[in-house]
Amino acid sequence: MVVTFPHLGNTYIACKIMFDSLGIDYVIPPLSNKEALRIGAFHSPDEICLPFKIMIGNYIQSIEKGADTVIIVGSCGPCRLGEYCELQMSVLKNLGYQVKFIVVDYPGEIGIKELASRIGYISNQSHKKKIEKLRALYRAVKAIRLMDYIEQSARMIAGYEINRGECKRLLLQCRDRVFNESDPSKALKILKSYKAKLSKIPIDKKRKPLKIAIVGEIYTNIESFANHFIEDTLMDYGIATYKSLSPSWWLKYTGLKVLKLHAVRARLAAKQYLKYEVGAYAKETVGEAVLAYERGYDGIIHLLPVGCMPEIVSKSILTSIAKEKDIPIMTLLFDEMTGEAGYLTRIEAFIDLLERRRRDHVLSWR
Amino acid sequence: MIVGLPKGLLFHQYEKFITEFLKVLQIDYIISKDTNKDILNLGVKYCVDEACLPIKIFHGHVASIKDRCDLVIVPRIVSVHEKEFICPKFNGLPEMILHNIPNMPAITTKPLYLYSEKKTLAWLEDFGSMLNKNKNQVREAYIRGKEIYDRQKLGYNDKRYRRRVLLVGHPYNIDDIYMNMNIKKKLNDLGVGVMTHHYVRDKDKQKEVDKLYKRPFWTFARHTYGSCVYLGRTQQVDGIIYLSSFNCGIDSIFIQLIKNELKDFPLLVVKIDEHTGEAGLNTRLEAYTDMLERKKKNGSNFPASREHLYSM
Amino acid sequence: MYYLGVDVGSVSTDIVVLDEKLNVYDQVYLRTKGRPIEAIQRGFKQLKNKYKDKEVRAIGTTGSGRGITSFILGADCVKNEITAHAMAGVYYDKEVKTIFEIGGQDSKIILLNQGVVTDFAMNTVCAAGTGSFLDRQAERLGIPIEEFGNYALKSKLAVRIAGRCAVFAESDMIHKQQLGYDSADIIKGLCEALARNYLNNVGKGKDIQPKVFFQGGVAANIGIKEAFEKILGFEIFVPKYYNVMGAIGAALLAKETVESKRCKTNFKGFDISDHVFITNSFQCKDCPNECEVVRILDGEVEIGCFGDRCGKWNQKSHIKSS
Repeated sequence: MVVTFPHLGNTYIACKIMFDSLGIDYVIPPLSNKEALRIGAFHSPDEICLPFKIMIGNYIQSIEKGADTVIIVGSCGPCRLGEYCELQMSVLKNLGYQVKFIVVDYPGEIGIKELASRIGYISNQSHKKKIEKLRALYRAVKAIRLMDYIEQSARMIAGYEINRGECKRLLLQCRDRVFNESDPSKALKILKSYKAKLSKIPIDKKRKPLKIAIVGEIYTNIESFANHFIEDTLMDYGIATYKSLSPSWWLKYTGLKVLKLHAVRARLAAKQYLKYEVGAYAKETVGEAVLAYERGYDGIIHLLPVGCMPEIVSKSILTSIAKEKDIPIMTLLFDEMTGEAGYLTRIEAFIDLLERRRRDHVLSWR
Repeated sequence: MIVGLPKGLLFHQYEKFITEFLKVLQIDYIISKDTNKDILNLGVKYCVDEACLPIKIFHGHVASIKDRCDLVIVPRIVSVHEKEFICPKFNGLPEMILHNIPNMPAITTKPLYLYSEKKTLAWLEDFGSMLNKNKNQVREAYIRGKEIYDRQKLGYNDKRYRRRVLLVGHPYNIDDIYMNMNIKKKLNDLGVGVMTHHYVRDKDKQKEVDKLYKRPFWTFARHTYGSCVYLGRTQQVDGIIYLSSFNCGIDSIFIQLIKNELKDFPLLVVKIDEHTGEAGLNTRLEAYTDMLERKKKNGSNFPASREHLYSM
Repeated sequence: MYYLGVDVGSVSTDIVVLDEKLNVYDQVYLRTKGRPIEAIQRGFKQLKNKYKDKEVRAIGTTGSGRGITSFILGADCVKNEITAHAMAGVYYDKEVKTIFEIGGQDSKIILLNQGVVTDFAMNTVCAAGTGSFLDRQAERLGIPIEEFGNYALKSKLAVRIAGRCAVFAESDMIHKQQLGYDSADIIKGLCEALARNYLNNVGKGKDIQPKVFFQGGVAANIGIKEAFEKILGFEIFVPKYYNVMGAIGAALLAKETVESKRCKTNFKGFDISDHVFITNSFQCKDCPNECEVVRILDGEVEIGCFGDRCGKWNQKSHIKSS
């Protein structure tokens, strides 16, 4: 068995560490790229949302490198993600690929037993002792938390760094080095060392950079390729960016959901605008937008794939929040046709707008 | 107190119930007009651009009556079947309406779970309290409304036509004859009878649905997929016409699944969005009927599933 | 002393020369034809004999080709076209609250409050309603684009045309033509469809307050201006230099930059029209991103690089140029 999985931000780093520890063969799809999107868009129904298309591209690129088993997570609606596995299996089967899917689904739906057996199927491929397996899992969780921490901090510190571009360089370097390290314990050490390096970046605390919060649909938030690396772009402009969504956020969220303690703050903040569940993370989007306002951010960027059902609801609400709270919110939609030029223009104009707003609310430009 | 009933989304399904319910309670109500150009324009004006046509049209219906009533029913129908959903946009419908349309009167916002009598009654009691009606009055009205609702037969199954097709899609796409340009009549005029999924037994649908890897969690998808695959496999109809609104998330998955399952069976996908006109639809339906005829005569295989976004 | 502004769009490239008092002294309009560098060179060739290098106090670029041309020209300020259009609009009238800008391939709306941009949007769907689309339809109807607007004014009754998508609008129009409708009525219908579509798409949910400026090439079309007025119920103003507002904005922004930094311009001189610029691209294999990096060479000398995500190439060129 050679397993693979679709990309979602930094998860590949955690997965690599886990599978290395377990001694299971795996293929990490090439980082999501234009070719993956081209392949995916070609084989997917036209109107399906962007994540589906990129994921199909990821699978096919992995299968060509020898993968035969796909691991993905499921959900039980009402958003489309829950049906991804069904259609993806069908699409790949029609293309003549023989792959097995292991869908890690919500236990309330498939039952604890079924979930255990699905996870057991993966775990049985490893010849390590049970304690080793647990350690692999522990390491993976640790790695993703470290990596997400490094990323989140770097994006924020970028607004304060004295040497322009240092945070970005460090972040890219860190990812690169961890990825090329096949010894899991060394990989963790690398992560720790970068966490330390990050805290030593010279910063100017007196600077008051523009602060932008990124909210919206989870895949376009986490998988940078899907959003044209928006955070990297913002780093280049010296903006401090904050985004709550990350793979480790998702882990915590899913874990705490059982106790109904997931994303408490965001959900409380959302209450005033949206009391009920809409599906996926629309409620969190609304909540995070309100929190960003309360925390004094200059603006909010809302990301979603074209046609995303839950985020269409939150988009309606964000328009009101922008008006009532007087905070600029820009929505960016992504699909395979999104061009680079218009996209950059929007971001630059948004930054200009925030800068001018800050500089003076009254004086005209002259 | 005047209650406003927007004639959009699932209104046609529950029209009999809600009007009887309000009559028994002696509450005045107004129903928006059948969908027309003005309502469509209003919807396009207010609703976020990315939403699908039925949601936009619902916005139009609400906007057309909002100034003439005190309370608009904007049903947040989360579910009509246990462990199933309608669509995420339904779950957020009241928010979309409130934030997209200015100067709204009061609306209903509580979630509705129609599969459970208890939960439905709870919603109605809450609604009743907005109308100053007590629980007993609501209960009485509910029973009377339900009697009428249960007596109605939804859907149709034309006999005495040379050919017969299954017309599937979300109920609001099939019910709203402005939106679908009265596709049923067009087909009838071409000598094609139309049936809807209501005439396929649940048992037969379920058999097909059970073959899926995962239980679908959208009620519409279950009906649509089940009836298409069952009738297609058993060749009980000559063809299937799938009415789908542009950018519908649910359809984007299930049309492909049905195509992958039925392979060569003649499936015509008709996409609708806000572009008016019908020349293109006529052409497609005519060509499709011709194909069905030819297929019947020659018994030959011909390329089957086609997809059309039409607009003129 | 002059200030230069360059707007490199997908369809056209505009160059304006502002004099000391910031009046438009000269302007050049060129078709970009997908080759921004060549367009710029052609433009500067025309200006070369009229002005001296040292008379230029600042130069700014904007438009979708602003990046690439800034390397060639040595621009002092490289700004997106939204900011540039807003800048120019406010310069001509402080009272302006809304700017409609419809250009070759995209359309924008900009909302201002006391001269500060408070909100903006760009077209999301496609080219319906933009300049290229109108050009095409004018051609199909056999009417010169300059006459398009006047035709619309002749009509008494507009034919309803679906306007959201270029392809559908076109097929709808052909259909109506075949049914024998009058050209003027069709054109009026088209203008109304485009105005309606613009307001429903780009202008969705925006609080459109007068005074409204209508800028960009399409503003020449009086039929569309009138359609906007009919829908909105108030007058729309088309500024005198409606078709080069982006370039004017770029020049004003460049002036602002040079003055606030109290520095000299980076302008490389009118001679650039004689240089041979070569652009080539290569795939950087240093990481899995495999970015396509574009390199601009002035003869043998590398003057700029872009397209890389990590900034390795981009930075290199910045260091060189400064």
